[in-house]
Amino acid sequence: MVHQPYSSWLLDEVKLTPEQKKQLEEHLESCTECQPVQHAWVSVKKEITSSPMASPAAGFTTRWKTYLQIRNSVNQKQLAKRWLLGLSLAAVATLILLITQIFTSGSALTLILGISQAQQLASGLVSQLRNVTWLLFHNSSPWIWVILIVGVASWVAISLIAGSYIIVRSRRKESPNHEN
Amino acid sequence: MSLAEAEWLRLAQHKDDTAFEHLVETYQRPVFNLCYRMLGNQQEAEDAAQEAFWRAYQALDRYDNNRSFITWLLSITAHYCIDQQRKRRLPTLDIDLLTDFDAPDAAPGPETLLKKKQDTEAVNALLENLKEQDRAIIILRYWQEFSEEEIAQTLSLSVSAVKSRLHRARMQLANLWMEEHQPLGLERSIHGSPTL
Repeated sequence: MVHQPYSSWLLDEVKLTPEQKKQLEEHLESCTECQPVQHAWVSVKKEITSSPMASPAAGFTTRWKTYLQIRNSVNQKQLAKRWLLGLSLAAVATLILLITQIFTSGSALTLILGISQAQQLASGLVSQLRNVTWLLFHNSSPWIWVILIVGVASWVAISLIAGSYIIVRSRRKESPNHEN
Repeated sequence: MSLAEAEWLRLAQHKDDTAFEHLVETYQRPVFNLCYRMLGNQQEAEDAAQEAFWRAYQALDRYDNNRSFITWLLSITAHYCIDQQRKRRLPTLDIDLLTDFDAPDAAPGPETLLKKKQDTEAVNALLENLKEQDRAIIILRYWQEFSEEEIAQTLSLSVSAVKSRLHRARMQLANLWMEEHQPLGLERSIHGSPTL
């Protein structure tokens, strides 16, 4: 027996014309296969539509807030780890590049000369700094020293305050139950 | 979506956590229901619903305001549950922990609770036999009352695919019902003659 289009009409919830309804009824009267399917589907649908929508236990939004804090904290830690890893990799890569450059660009003599030049440059810088300090100490007015000391002290104080604030804030973020 | 919800959504898109909490409060039921019907377990449904909201929170700046928010949110939820179900492959039913259901009376008696538990068990037992995507389609169709177009949008399928999957799922559910409710010794296949 041909079951189409009756099977579709039964299960697809299409709106049937009176003529189609009549044809379906006639088919169901004579078809021993479509009839039980229809009965079964009607029962299943009744079962499904009578089953109410499930709700979470009370306090879902409060639990969500805690979940959000935990996930944010985990995310921040992961981000920090990624940055640290990235920077470490970059430092290692730079070091490897420098070493490779030194060892591949010339002979051992070039390397020794390079080290010697770097040493000369460093000692030159130290000597220049010494000269500048000496000039400042001997030729400048005492007010410059006052301004310099006050400036350095302010900078240190601001750094300390900012550092403490960052540490306190990060500790607060790390403890999700802080506000509860 | 009401004007207040639209405003919360707008504020949530500007990283206002309190506004997003309002959205969680508003949409917790459909999200949880989808998770519960998909996973069949209250604790897993709770975790999945929280995760779905977290994913929505993260993706909120990519949300297209022309799209229905509930469709978008349930799309995230459904995809997450389908993934979880595929990973798990062994669905379990948590019938001892009765989820909070809409109660018609203020304090349902033990008989009402038992009936609800049995109904939930029966429905979940039927659903767990369906493939993940077919199950999601049935849940969206009958609990969420989504149209075929909305289901297609939610699950990233074509409308014709949704129609054919709905037909297949209904047929499968009808066959399961017949298998469970037929007299012993009588077996029936899809469009097959009963054999003794």
